[in-house]
Amino acid sequence: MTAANTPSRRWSLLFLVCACMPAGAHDLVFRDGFQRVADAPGSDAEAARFLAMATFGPNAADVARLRAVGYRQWIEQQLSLPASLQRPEVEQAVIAAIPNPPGQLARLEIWMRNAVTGPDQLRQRIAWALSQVFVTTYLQSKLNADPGSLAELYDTFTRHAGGWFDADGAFHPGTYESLLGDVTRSPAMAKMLTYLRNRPGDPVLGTSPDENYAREVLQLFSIGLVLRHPDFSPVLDRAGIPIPTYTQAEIGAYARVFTGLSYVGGFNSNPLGANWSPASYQPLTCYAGRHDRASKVLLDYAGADAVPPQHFVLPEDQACETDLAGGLGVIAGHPNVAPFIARQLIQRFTTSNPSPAYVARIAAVFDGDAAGRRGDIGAVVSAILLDDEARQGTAAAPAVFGKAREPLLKLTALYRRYDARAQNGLYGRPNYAAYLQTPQGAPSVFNYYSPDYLPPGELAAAHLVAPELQIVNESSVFSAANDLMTQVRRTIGSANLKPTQVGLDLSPLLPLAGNPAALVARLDADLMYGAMSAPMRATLESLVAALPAGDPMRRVRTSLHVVLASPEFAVQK
Amino acid sequence: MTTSHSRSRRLFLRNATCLTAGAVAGGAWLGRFGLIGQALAQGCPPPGAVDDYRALVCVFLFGGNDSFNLIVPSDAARHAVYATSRGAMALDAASLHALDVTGGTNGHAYGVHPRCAGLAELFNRGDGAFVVNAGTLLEPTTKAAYADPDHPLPPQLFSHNDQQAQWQYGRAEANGSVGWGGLVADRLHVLNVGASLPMSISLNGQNRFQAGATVQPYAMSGAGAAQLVDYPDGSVQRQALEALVEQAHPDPLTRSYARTLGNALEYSRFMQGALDAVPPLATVFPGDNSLATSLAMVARVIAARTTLAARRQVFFVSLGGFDTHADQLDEQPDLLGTLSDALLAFDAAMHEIGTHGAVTTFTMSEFARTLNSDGNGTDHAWGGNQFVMGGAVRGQRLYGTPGANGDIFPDLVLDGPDSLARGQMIPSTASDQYAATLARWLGVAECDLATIFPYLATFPRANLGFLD
Repeated sequence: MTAANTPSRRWSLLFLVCACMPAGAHDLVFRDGFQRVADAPGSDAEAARFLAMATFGPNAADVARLRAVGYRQWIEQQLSLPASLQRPEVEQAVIAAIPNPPGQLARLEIWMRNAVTGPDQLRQRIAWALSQVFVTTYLQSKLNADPGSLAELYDTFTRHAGGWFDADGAFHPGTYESLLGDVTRSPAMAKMLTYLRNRPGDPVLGTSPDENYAREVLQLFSIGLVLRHPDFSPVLDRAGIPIPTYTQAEIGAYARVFTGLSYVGGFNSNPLGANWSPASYQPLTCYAGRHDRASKVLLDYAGADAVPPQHFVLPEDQACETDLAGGLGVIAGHPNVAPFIARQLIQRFTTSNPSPAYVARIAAVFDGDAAGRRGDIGAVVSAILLDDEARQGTAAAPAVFGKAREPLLKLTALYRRYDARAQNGLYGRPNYAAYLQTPQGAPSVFNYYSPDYLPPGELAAAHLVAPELQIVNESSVFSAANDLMTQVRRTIGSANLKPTQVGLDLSPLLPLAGNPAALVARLDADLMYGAMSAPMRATLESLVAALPAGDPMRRVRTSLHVVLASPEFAVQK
Repeated sequence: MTTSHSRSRRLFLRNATCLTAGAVAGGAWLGRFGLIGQALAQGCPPPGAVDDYRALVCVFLFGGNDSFNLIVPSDAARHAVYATSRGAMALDAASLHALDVTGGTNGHAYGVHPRCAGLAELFNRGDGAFVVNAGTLLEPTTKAAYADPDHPLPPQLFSHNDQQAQWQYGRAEANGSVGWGGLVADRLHVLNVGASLPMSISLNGQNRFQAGATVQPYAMSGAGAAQLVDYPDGSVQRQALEALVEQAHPDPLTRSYARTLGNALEYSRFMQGALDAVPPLATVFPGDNSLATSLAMVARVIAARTTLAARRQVFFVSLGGFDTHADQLDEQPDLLGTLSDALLAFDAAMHEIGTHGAVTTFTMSEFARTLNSDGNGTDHAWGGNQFVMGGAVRGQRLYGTPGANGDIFPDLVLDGPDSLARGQMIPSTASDQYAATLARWLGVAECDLATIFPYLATFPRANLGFLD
């Protein structure tokens, strides 16, 4: 799509909307200057393509709803739904197991339930994306014994995706700065990055404050390593070299900012095990007596675009909550945050290699929504999904647009499309490991993959990143395909399906088994939003025809699995 | 595996797709990646044929191993300095396993971590050595040079992923996608005449170390080569999936995925068949030890080297969890014990297979850690110590470059002549020197070493001398 033919396409889409949508469905079209695509998808395929980005996988009900209300209203409705939470149920599992930790089973069960059946799909998908930026993992820092704090942090992500009402009925918008504060005060992150009970340096013992969070909050959660323009391109010095955003001195200063935090019940309290209490997941308290009270020279924004050099110093003897809020405010206010976070969120939803202009548009939304609110997570994701580039691809480089599907989202897409469920109502130990994507179970704070991963070969030569391909290798393509085979073999109505096993409802496909073209077209629509290539369709039709006509289930299962294992399904465009 | 004919045809098609697309993209984006490929192809003569077998096994310790608690000065004078700097992190001298260092030691004594009896045994029997205070460097760097803003330093010191990349790249640069193991394989894979599998085998999925310009690793797991269930040879579904792999894909992401899936279909059963054809190892590897599980599989692949027609191989295994900011005294012993136990068993397996002199195993880790503690752990630092082992290693020695104190082993004082305020050691030996020594032993010629390790020439020695 070039700029020149955008208007005519826009009008043709609008015409479709007017012709086929109920009155009122399109009244949000062009509500502001940013939105430049027609507001309701013109086909089931367009709707399904959008939902592949915005949910854990399209299904018939969501396609119909989206077509009825249009993109904007769908998003608004989604973000106004209450957040489906994890912690309240995980807490019950924790309490039931006292004094032993209950492991990750309850937490991972609820994750899958919310992904597959949560009505707040967009919130859940945003939370999933945020959990891959602000990474915690049960594999580190004894968090395996503390699923309640992991679940509460995940709920923090879900709440910030669109905001929330507190117990007094007051609305809290979900902004980046609010999120950064809540993440920093969360016991899960404090354990993950080891600043729980972080103490000031002791000259007698020769110790220094722990630098772990200071470094990773800057490198991974906010500004990154080098100064960025709003389009994410690096700011270069006169020699053409990227300019670091901070030095070891600022790391040392922030390490001192992040001293004094511990559980609400006392600096040395440990509300776990036999002493378990809700304090284990409640926001941490900053203990003045344990906080480094010397002054701290923070980030200076020097060299960043469009801001005068600024020097931020926390004076000595400040209250530790004041230090914390001030220190985090300086991070959140850094001009890098908008492009750094915008680019990663774009990568999680729509495309691995956004054009610089796309990043800049989203960064602008990040820096101030219509109400002038900075870092509104829901507004940012909404803009990411509605952007021309998301809806129509990268005009200048159509082959570049898209992303490898996250391996785990192949499973959720299958579950959602074919209404997967077990008689006992549970998902029961999904084989997350087969996809190398256990929720809150990455190998380290560096997530399952890096936003900068350059797959060797053609993609690296073209300077194209593909984060998800970092967990795609000869071993994992088969482990994921084999688990998908397990799923495809389990169908609702089969005599072999145990009450504890999740089955797929493949009944809509079975009547098509006698007609290879119809079956393949349905698989294309169901899983690939009509984007299947002609050669792939031909291959699948031949496959279906070569399987016994008298065994419709075999035709369905085999062709469905080949789609799930295929290179084309592995990429979302 | 269908037939050798279709296999080679598919390989040809995949590679052709890759090269064509690369050439097109190269017109606009001829970056360092393209230049390396050209230099390797055009600059140096190809390696001469070999009939022996050699392999490198990289053991990457992710997170930044606190290696100044791996090897520790144990003579009273220097242990006192060490203990003062390390505070609560210090190990008792009496708890260390003594190293029997050959040659002159100037009255210096060393020991290894109490959980590293295996490493001490390997060292003391002449199969192991330490390379001391090695780290990423662009040029030799003294403390005065470090303070000079015009002195070139590696970008993003103290950052995990950047320093991992630089160790794996073989140069202290952050850009690009390839690693020195992959560039070595690009050069040497022609020695594996008749081989149907890549020269590089990963037990840890994608990794930068093994990414080459042309040769990419084959990934397997400690359980072996993953197999695709319900796609038997000759079945219509297998033919369909192979057709989907081979069809033309208009976008590079799909092509990239198709290549990996194609490789998996191509190699998995051949590899498993080769593994099944060798007798089980008698060597017992320790249980509940993920590194040992990986190394046991490496040993089986090495045992199958004749079937695989492999004369040169590069392996990558890893152990994570070394980022011990907290609870170091709880966590580091288990980590180092896991490492030591696994390496000792692997060494025994190499004896059993008859490849003890042909396989060199070496550690890498992105950095060592601050000598002083943050109370119950340590933070990111710079230079550190690495362990090398194998029959070709000139063992029972420490290798490196003398620092400000005139000794290979630096003074472990905070803010000392070779250290920063918290005892972050300024490396006296470059990671590139370490890597080039290993690559040279595997068979990379002088001419290619200069291309793969462009900063090597800025250091006084290209060969640290720890390998025959």
